[in-house]
Amino acid sequence: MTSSDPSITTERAILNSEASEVILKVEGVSKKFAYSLRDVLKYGTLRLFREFLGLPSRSNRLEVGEFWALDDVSFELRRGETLGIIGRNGAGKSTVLKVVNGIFLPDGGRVAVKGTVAGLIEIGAGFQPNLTGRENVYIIASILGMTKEQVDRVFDDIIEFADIGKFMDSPVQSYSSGMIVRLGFAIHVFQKPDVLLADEILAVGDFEFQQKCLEKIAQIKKEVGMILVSHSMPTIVRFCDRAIVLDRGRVLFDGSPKEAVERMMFAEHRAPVVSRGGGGNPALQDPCGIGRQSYVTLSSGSRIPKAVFGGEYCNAQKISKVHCRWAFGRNGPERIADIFSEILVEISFHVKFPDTNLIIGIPVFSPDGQMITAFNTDASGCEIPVDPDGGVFGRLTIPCISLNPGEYVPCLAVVVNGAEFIYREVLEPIRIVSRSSRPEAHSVYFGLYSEKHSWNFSSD
Amino acid sequence: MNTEHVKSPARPPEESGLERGWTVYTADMRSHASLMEAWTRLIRDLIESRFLIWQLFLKDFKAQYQQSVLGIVWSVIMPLVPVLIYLFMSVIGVLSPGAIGLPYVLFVIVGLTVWMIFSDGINFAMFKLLQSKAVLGKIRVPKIAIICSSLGRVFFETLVRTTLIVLAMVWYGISPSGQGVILLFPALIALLCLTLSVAMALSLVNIVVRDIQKLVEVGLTYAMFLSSVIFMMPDEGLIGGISSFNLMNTFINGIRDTLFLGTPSKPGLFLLTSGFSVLLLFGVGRLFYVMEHVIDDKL
Repeated sequence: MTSSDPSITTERAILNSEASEVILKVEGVSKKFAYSLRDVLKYGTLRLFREFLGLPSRSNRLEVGEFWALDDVSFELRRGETLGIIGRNGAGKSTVLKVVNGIFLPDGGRVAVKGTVAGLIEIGAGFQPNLTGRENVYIIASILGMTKEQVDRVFDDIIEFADIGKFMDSPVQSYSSGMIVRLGFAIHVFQKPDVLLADEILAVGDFEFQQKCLEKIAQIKKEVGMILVSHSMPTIVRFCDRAIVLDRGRVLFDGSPKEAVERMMFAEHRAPVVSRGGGGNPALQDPCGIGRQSYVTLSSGSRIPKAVFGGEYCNAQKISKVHCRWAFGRNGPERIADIFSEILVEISFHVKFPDTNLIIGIPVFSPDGQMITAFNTDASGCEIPVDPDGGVFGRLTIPCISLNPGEYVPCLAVVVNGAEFIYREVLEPIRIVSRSSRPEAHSVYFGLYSEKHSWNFSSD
Repeated sequence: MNTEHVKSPARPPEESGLERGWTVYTADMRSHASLMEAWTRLIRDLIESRFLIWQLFLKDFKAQYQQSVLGIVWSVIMPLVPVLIYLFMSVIGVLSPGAIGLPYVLFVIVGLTVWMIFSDGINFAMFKLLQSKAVLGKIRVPKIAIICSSLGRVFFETLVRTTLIVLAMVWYGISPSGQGVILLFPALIALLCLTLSVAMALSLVNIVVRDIQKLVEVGLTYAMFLSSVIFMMPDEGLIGGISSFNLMNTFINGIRDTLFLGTPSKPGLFLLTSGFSVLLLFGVGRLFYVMEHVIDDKL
């Protein structure tokens, strides 16, 4: 735990001073699993016998072939608070949810929940394919622990929210996957729990339904304590009041979501960048210097986690010596460009597999992580020639940048075989300014970008 | 590691510095539960999930007969099939049981009906729990509720077979003993206790060790012939002595005797068996409560 960190202690103090009650306490929780099915069965059977004979469960010890999925995890959740849990695959995020939900008993420590827990976890689970949607509402709701009275009360709301019309009376096996998700989400969201667990649920259905879900979640999140597990860093930053970083079953960080995302990037980067390096050559270990800093700094001084812009990655076995230089106008200083001026981007790198199909992409993000535009060799129909020694050199020319004045974060991505990223770097932010000395400058800019234009009126 | 957490005994919520309304999960909370605690929790689980039990029963009932032309009629035909096979065999004279003081048809129907409460109860429970495994790993559902919902089908099928018994009794002009019909209820409850105990224990272990299901299928098939279902087990001698340890033999003979004669022919043995069954359920209930969670992470 990082509770010794003074900044977090203050944050805790602020949270504590808010009078909302604690509704979930996870105290030093551990959980172990076995790697192989054989061991699972062996230890499962042994455990059954031990329990049968009334012997202590020995849950505090690891047997051969077991590992800690959760290791001394502690946190609290208050009503009205949304807690994000982030971490790599296998970090223990889903296990935390299952322990809180009471599906798994901890092997050590204690979980205390005040009130009921509900999970937006496996939305499609439990559907009976040959029964109608209407019949399934009752089945799923009862599996989720609702009583008949509770279901009757919200039944119409569920149907209205799912909005699948006449399909309500068709067997579920004829539903599209989107319809199952709609119905499942509707049933789940109308339980009135005290603690709501959500595992990657903000990406369900089509755009319209997603907005509906987000609205509904925003509505109920004031009344419940919510735990949100997601791999989408922007979601964590936007949605959560606090976030936890899990790494191999341990809590690496507990604090503000932005910082959490930052920490997570550190945890994530140590592994791929260094371990995939090309042997003992130190220059190749971290060929691009990415991973040294996990945030970009805006001119205002505020720091934004690079994960907001999609994170960084370098496969050092395939690419090295990446350089990217931005040149702004003819005499402008670095990283500041006048609107409607020319921008040149020079890119060079070496690839270890010269015959692969290369694509270079430069997406440009707003500071809150929205992609504004992107430049892409594939989309422009540009083929990238590779020198016999693997060298690639090229230049992107943007003759007239029309992004409105403000700060933007560009990224550089190199992709092979159509989809495999071998390199992704979040570049230093660029600033677009409008100087009144320039003839094309406006006094006010609207929206995200401006077209070069002129007005003409005739008066005859 | 946080051994101090593990080694400290699990305290009930009231003593742990938390107010009421808190649900607490610790490693050893279940192993330390007393018989009373375990049963209180089990019964609370059952009461809380009565709607779930009903829904699961309805779901299975509907799912079973969907997409069939005869539909609900199957729900009457299916329970009768095994009974009718033995009826047919007795009518054509393949089975000749000797002197039993009762039309053989009635002997078989009653025997089979009682036997199938036991065997179907175990088979359905094992099948249902294994089938629900996927959901159990994702949503917290009391396993006792799933087992009880599978017993719903046993109740229904028994009801259908009972109708056949009544019809056969009318056909043969045999009326049941009045005292027997009343005594039948406690006898059936004791049988249910035995069924539930075996079903709970086996279906739980079966999730970890799948061999159980195969063993049970084979075992039940043979056990039927040792339990006076289609012919009488000898009362005396070595086999008679061994048979008195066969709880189902005692139950089937006892219930049949009670129905037609008013009392079991071996009232002492029958009482002992019934009492044992009830006690067994109490013991198995606690074990079930203790072992239930081991299954969850070992799925």
